[in-house]
Amino acid sequence: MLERRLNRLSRASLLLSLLFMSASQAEEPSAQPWSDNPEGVALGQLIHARPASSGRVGVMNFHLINKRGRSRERTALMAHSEIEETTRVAIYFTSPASIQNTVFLNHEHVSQDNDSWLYLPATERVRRLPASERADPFMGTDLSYGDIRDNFRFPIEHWEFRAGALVSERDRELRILEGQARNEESAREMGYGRFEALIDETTLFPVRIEYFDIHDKALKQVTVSQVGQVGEAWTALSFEVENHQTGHRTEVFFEDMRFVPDLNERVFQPTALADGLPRIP
Amino acid sequence: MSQSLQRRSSRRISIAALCLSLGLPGLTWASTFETVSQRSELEYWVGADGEEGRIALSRLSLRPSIQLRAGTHWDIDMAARLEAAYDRTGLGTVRSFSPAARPLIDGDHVRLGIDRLVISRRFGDNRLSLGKQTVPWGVLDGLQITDRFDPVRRRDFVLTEVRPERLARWGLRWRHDGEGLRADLAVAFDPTVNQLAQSGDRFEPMAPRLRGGLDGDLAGASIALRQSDRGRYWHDATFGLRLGHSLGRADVSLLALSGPDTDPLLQLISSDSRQPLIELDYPRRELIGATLEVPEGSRVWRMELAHIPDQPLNTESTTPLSSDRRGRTLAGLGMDWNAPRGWFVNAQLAVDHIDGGRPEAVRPRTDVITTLRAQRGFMQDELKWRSEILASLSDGDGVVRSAFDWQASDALSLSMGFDWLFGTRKGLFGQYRDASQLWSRTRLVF
Repeated sequence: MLERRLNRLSRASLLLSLLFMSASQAEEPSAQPWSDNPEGVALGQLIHARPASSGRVGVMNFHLINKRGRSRERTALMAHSEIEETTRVAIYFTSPASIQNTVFLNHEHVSQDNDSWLYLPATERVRRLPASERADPFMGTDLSYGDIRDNFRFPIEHWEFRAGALVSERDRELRILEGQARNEESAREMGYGRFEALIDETTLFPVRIEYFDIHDKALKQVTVSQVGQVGEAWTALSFEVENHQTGHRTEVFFEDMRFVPDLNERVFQPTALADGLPRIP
Repeated sequence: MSQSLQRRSSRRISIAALCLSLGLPGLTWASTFETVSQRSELEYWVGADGEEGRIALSRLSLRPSIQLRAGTHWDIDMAARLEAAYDRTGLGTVRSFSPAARPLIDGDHVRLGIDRLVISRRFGDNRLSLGKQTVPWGVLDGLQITDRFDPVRRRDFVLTEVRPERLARWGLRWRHDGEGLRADLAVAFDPTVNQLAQSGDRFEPMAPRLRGGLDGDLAGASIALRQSDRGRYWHDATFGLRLGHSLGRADVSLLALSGPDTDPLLQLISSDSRQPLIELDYPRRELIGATLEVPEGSRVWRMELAHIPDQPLNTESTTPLSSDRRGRTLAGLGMDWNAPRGWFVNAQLAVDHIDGGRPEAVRPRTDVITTLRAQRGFMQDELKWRSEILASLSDGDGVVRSAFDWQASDALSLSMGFDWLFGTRKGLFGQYRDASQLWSRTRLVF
């Protein structure tokens, strides 16, 4: 499985290099129309197909800082798994006490709508959440539910891409990638009309993404400050999201992120959410 | 004298259960205990009477809880509740609790009790839980169609943040969560049936339909009220089995339960004209039901259906407080909707129908209840607004509730709101039309 993914990645990287080589000999790609930018499409697809670990677990720390500088903190155990056509994310909040034992679970399927559940200890019930509304803020953070699901990818069903030039930043060569929502419905669903991103082609991770809302006003900036390899896949270990319109920002960093290939199925079962923090060896 | 003995006996049983529950695992695995989570919630809830502006609710509560883990299979979950109130709402009766479930400290204005005490062990796909626990079944919010295993608190009517407020009972639960089929078998060896408001308190049932058809003050000096014996642990045990399965993306479940009814049946024990004696009885009844939960885009649909073939109820007759058993069918439909711009909407409709017969039941043959709730968060959920209407379409009464919640810090939250009750005094909601209130809640969680 790992070998297949790496092969797929190398083939894709080669294709990307060839595409960029031809693009650099031609006109400035960003001047090209959205519908005719194979470099952008290829890069968008590569990012979308970026390998993910079959199982990883880490402690997720959120710092929520409002425009007056007041800070709130959240800590959660995050379990993530991508197997076959389903990506599963479980977030078990451990602090502060007011949201302790709250659990969010999402199963994202390639071929059908996503399934989400929320366990609130006060209600003692696991509640199935309506799908969509990707744009809704996730648990009071500046991340949307869609951001959590996408994991620094750009869903190709929602975006058209346009690749730009290479730029140098902190001794790294980064590729400009722009995205535009395919249609109004996609824009409304994501809460984003377009984005401008700098992509590290080695890891296929965005280093910085500037999102614009559906009225083309600057909405938020996502800055990934640290990525690490967990198992066979690159993972963001530290990032920040700043909302330009509210002045609010969210800092996220992971601790003890580790590769757990044989993650227990129960971690991602809705009925097990009420049992509390899972045991993960 | 007998009450005093019963109270002491109840305390002994509770303390013994506490010691047993804590002691047994402690002896074996004391060194391997790991604290998984720990929190305490301190809350002050104050309400002013909407009509006269008097303080009608003033309740302070402290609820500590802890979850421990021992080894790779054992879990212990404990929670306690200390409450103090000096108001017209009161802390509710505990006479409808079994002796083992009663508070350890039971004063007129202060109570200390065990909210939850569960020891669980996992065996592969199975989980066995022993102790004082709840069994939340059903998929609708607050509308109890199939969700009738647990007794609930009614001391605040339905004006609580979470509905229903379940009461944990001593018992055993086995859950199997295998490939496809999910099974949940529960037995509560604890005849606790509910928690009603005490006589004279704000939410004492007043509508004739809840008082065996009687008008007037049951707590009056000329009538004596008593609870049926709540100490018959085996005879009044509740048994239930729920089987669940996924059908595509839908979840379906079938369930059956048998246990004492959680609504009282009023029985005339003595018709001595100087002091008639009325007993609140809770005869056993059976329920079969089904639930269905179907996601559909930005909506989730929920459906429940239940049938009670032998619902005990009071009937209208020349003999006061006569009773009978009738078939009862309940059905409910609900929808969650993630509406645009961050709004969340929940709408529900329920029908509760009693089979016809002579003499007629003191309650209407059909109740139709609807609920509609809308809520939205602002400023990264620091501020939340929620509003709801609960109404009986058959009686034309209901309650409108609205509140703002402000999360002042990670630990401190402040809420303010109002509950406006309207409608006929004979209705489920209208009976409390004088209990409309403005309220404020301060909560510290640490």
